[in-house]
Amino acid sequence: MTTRTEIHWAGSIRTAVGDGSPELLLGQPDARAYVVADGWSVTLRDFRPVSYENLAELLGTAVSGDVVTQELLAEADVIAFEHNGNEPGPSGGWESCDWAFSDGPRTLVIHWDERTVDGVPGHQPVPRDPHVVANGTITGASFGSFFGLSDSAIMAQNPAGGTPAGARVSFLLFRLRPEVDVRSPDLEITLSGVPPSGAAATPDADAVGLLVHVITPAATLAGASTPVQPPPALTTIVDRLSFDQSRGWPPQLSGPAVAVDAAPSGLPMTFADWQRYLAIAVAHPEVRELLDDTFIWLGCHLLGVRSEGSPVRVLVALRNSATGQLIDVTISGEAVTGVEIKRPWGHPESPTEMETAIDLVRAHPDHGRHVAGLEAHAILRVPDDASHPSTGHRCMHVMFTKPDDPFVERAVCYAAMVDLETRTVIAARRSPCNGSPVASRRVPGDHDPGRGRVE
Amino acid sequence: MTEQPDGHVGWRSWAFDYAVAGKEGLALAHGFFRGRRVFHKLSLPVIRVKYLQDEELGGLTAVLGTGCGPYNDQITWDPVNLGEDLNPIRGPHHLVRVAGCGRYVCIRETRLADGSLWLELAVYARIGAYHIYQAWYLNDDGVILPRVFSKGLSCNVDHHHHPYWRFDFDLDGQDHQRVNVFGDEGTRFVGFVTREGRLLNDPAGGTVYNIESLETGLRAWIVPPTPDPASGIVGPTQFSSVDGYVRRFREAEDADWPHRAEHEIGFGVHEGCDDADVVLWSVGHLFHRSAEGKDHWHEVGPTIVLEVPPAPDPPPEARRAVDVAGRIAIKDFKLGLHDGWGHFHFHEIVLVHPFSPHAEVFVRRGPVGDVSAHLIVTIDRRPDDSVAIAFTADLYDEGERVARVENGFSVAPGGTGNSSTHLVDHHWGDPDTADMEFTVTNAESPPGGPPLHPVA
Repeated sequence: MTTRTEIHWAGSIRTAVGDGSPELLLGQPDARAYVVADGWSVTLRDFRPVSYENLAELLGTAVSGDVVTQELLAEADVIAFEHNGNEPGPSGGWESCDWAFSDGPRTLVIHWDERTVDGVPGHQPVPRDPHVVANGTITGASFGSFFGLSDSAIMAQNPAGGTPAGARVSFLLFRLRPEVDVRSPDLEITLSGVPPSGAAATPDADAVGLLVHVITPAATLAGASTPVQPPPALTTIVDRLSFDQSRGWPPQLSGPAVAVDAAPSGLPMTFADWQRYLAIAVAHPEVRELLDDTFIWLGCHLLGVRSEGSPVRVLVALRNSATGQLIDVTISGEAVTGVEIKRPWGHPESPTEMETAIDLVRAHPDHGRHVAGLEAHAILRVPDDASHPSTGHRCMHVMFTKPDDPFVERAVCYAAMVDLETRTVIAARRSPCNGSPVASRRVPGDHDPGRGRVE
Repeated sequence: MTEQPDGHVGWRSWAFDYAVAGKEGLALAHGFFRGRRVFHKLSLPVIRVKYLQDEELGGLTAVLGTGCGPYNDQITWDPVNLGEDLNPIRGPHHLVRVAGCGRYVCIRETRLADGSLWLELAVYARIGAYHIYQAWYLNDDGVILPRVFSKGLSCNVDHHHHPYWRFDFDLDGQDHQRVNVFGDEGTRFVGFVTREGRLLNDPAGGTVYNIESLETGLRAWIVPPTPDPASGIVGPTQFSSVDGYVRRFREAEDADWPHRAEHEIGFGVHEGCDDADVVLWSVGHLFHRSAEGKDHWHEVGPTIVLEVPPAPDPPPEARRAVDVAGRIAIKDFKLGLHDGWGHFHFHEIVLVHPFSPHAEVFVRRGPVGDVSAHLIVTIDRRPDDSVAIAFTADLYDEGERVARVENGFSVAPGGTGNSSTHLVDHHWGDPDTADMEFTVTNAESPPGGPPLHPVA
């Protein structure tokens, strides 16, 4: 069974009481913490997803407290991280605090107690609320590596640790189901400080998120295996049609063809309609705030509806060209009904993005001369190599081939990767593209002043 | 002329909508076969592409490695022409008009050498350097062939294409559906799916699925493509590790492909799915050897076969002969000249009954000058033998739809209903018009009446 986990990190604050910097709790872990002192609290909402693989392996490296397995992680609905310098709470993880989870109609309150039964750190914890799935601590080094944080960031938050390996970051896992609907869009989490109970009890909270475990289990079957008579239609099945290869691309069936009348049934979708829907989208206050007056228009798409007779729904897809953030605006009739922030891969390459990337390569003093006379194509890539500066950016893999031929597959003669957020060509290569078969290989190239030397 | 991204097709025993909507390619929706509801939507949310060598950005050396990808290929409505043969947004664009069709959504029928007749709906998409032809082929025996054809390279390395089709069947309605699994070409029942999850075919072939209505026995068989490495048709890989996936229908999942290119299909919640509204994902695996040359395109896709169970002859009073008769008057406005007029009559009788409750009458008239009119009347029988009438009346100017009216009414057994519609083109000071009047009569079908499967 393959597993990965989406963590929907807190995206905004509904209320905060007391001082400190509760906004440091927002988003994914960044080694910047909100100190939750007695009498202070923050209520978090608008949870936004980021996908991770091998989260259970990270939590399985616990140096104190509970060691988390995949099965244990699958039980949990909420994860929270706090920084603990060089030493976790007495029971091996988080310091004492109060939690409240609300889906609107229902609220679940959980008190987390850091103490052990005999007061000796590392000994048996006091009895826990049954909703606590696990409490433990990993090293700052593991934490930083997993979330792509620098050693200096880890040490700035945990100076007592001495080194990232000596720094301690604690986690708490809660299970809320079935008492609370963890998929509710109204879900809110409140973290509150409590009076000291022997130890400091002032968590340095970094991030809080909802867990969605994305898994692909085998379908479960019932019924006894038994011989059956298949229907006649299965005994004479047609699975391959005959195509006339001599007519080239695109494929055409072998035989005389005639057009079939269809009745166009949708609203007109001319450019004027696109513009009208764009105007509706960008006039919406939430969209205006997200765009900050600068955007790339990715597309305008009809959306299918399940029930006939409903108003036509349209999706306007936008990208904030300053932040790279994708915004999907759903319009029903003439009104905005949804504004959703999408991840960088949430929309395929748009014409404008392709054009921008191709123009950057063609105009580049080093790459441009290699692609003269070649046909350009571009496709979206969002690098996931955490060590690369373009990770998480919408990038375009731009390819140059000889002109299309309906009878021939073209190889790639030159390729470049363009980071749309920085508007730079970040890598390139030439490839042999004469004859068949072809095999790509690294070939000498030219110097890219921005990124070093093409080998 | 502006081509619309969606429309309606009535062809022989089929009636359905089509649309390039959202990011899920050319989809078929609201489908009827022989007067019975068979699907809500059949779509292609993504084609995942994996090269034998992944992209390497080269750290600080600025050298692209020899590999590339992986990619999520998604087909959207992004045509070169967005109206009046102009698209002010520069490209490249995703959709190309299909040669020989002259349209972005190619809809044509072809008679093969064996005499069989096939309806084709297809789009030609350019995604990066790929040429993708996404097609649906249907015949009058209830067969649907979803297909993806591909040629082109993002880098000169062997790779796989993995189309992920999403089949949302509604067999005689949304609920009470079951997914059954068979082996040995359908001769061995393996079991029925009780809880959502992935499906893996027997690597040697022979696995077959069906979705059936537990209430009526209407079935949609899904036959995965037979492995044929010589043609590139292979089994799952580590990257695309499933052949199918069974889900309950959830509104939230009837949406964009949510996963990044590196990630396999997966879901957070898995529940019981028997006797429910179900969705079956079907995943193809197509190996493509990089080679510039004439052996340039490959195809993959499952076969869907609808099995309509034998039904008893409906009682005479339940066989409703619905008579649709009327006239259409089209005026082609000519400023300062004599207007052009065309007057057309139409008359059609269709039969609906409990085992074929849906029928359609599709009237196209014109052109008169450059003006034409369409009237689609849908008829749905109700248990009390009344019929629900819904109609769409459209006016076209040079192929551009310039006016539409939608309405409906009900006709009791033995009763009659009427409609009168006036359509006007308010654009460009060119008030072309169409007046449509028609009468619907709902009568008991006499012996020897129209054929049992009246659609189209």
